[in-house]
Amino acid sequence: MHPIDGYLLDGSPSKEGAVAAVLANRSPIEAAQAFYRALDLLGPRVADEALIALRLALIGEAVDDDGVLRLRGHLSAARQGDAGAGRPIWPRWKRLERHARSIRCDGARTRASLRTCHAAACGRGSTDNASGDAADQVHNGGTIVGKITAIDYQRNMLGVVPADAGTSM
Amino acid sequence: MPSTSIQGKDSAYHAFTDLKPGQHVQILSSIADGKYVAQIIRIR
Repeated sequence: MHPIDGYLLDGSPSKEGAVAAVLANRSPIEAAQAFYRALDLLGPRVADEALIALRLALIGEAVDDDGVLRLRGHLSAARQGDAGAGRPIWPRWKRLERHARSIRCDGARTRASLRTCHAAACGRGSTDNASGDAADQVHNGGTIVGKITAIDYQRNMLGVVPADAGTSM
Repeated sequence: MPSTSIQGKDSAYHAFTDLKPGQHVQILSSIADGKYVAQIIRIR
């Protein structure tokens, strides 16, 4: 379980532990960088809402007030003893997390995280169009021309910003 | 699972570690099992 999930749902690890673990294993996802800077500055004094927002950013979800407040409501209910309160959000988180893991590379097999630039290049903001494919099907993902913005060499993950919105796909 | 070929302007062998932030690249990708996979990365 992700340390933020553990802290928010079960209180284990502690907030200090969760923040330390998150900062020790940073994702190159661009949307998460502002939250990392906040964690650097504030450490465990950061509000839970910021951790929720970071979690949303890490799984590729849009970070907005409504989403954060909705999740905070679920978490509050779960903490107050409603065992089922937290469940509705987890399947979606888990599905998105699986997708986030799948776009990492390992060993000599290199995969690149193209979802962000793909969405920017062809206006597909959701991963749902891709995740609906059958496991044994391979489709043309198109061509992306752009600039590398982030690289995670350990996980072989690449962040690319397309050169222009008219990139062919 | 496909692996990725990384091509530079020369004929030398290139690896993922040759990629650097700020570089301009062309990426030919595929979608398998709902995941985007870089098939060829050309350093421009």
